[in-house]
Amino acid sequence: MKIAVVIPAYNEARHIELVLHRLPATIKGHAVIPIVVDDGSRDKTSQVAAAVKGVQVIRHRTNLGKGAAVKTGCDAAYQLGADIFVLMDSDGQHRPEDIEKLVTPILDEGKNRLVIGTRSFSKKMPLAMRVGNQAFTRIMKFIFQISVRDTQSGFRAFSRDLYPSIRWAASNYAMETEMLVLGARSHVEFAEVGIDTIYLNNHKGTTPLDGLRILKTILKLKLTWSQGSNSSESSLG
Amino acid sequence: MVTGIQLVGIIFGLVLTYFTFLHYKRDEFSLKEFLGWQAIWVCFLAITLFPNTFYSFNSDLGILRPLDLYTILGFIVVMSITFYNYVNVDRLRKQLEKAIRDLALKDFKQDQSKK
Repeated sequence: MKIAVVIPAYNEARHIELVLHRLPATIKGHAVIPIVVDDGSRDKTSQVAAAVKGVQVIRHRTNLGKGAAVKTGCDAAYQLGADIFVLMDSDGQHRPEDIEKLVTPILDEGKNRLVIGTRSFSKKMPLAMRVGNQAFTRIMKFIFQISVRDTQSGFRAFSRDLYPSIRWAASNYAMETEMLVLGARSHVEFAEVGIDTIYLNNHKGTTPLDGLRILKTILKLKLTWSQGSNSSESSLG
Repeated sequence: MVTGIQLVGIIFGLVLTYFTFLHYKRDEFSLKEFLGWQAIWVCFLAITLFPNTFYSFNSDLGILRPLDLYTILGFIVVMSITFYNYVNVDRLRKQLEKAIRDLALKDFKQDQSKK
């Protein structure tokens, strides 16, 4: 089995090398393929990543957003024949050592699982992020009856079989939300594992404007919920 | 007697008429687009110059002053243009995203085949 670790990166030349060096070469005997998607960085992110042995680098000519970058990375992983897809951030926020925890439920318990790395909502998490995450978790439960503790976590794993049904259209930070809704629509089982998170830069990541975009996506998905179609699915090569 | 606000409206209408003509001459507008925009500016100038002509029309709509009709029409036009722009920008954003993603994956495939 091949485990693809998809890492979207935007202006992360400072952190990406350390993240890539910390990635395990194998997990439980399965090969790990790191795929970095440089989302139109202005610094040397792609050059730094390409210099690390065994790393596959894809480059967007201009910045499109996290959702688009992760989708490009997952499409490449699909083409490379990866069996399990792991999504993680490039800024060192997620611990590569936790990847094993994420893939274990898929390896041991079945392919129909979307595993979410759940962060602890302690005081280490910036206040605005904590409030926003908890609000979205409640909104998702109220609107879609999805009971996941951390709906906005970007540290996730799922199997190749699951990808076509949860392949999102959002090009921004709404991708995590959309993935959950598409998963629920396709009767995917959600599994949660606790992860450690390190917050290196409070000014990166989601902003209140992203919060509004996520809210817009939630409302749009609610309106199309009964239709049960995934517009993004058909374009997967 | 032309009032101050009418003068502003006339200058605005004439400037936009000129810019429409300029875009047409530079082949940035088709004849259809040119005539369409010119018709809008001519109507705009007509309403500005002869607001009293629209009194009877106003009373039919329950509007007391010509300026109110102007404001309402302006609001409708701005909302329509906003909606039109939103739809077009969203479509362009999706097309651009698809093109950039396809290009990135094509480059990736080529790199893979070279290795």
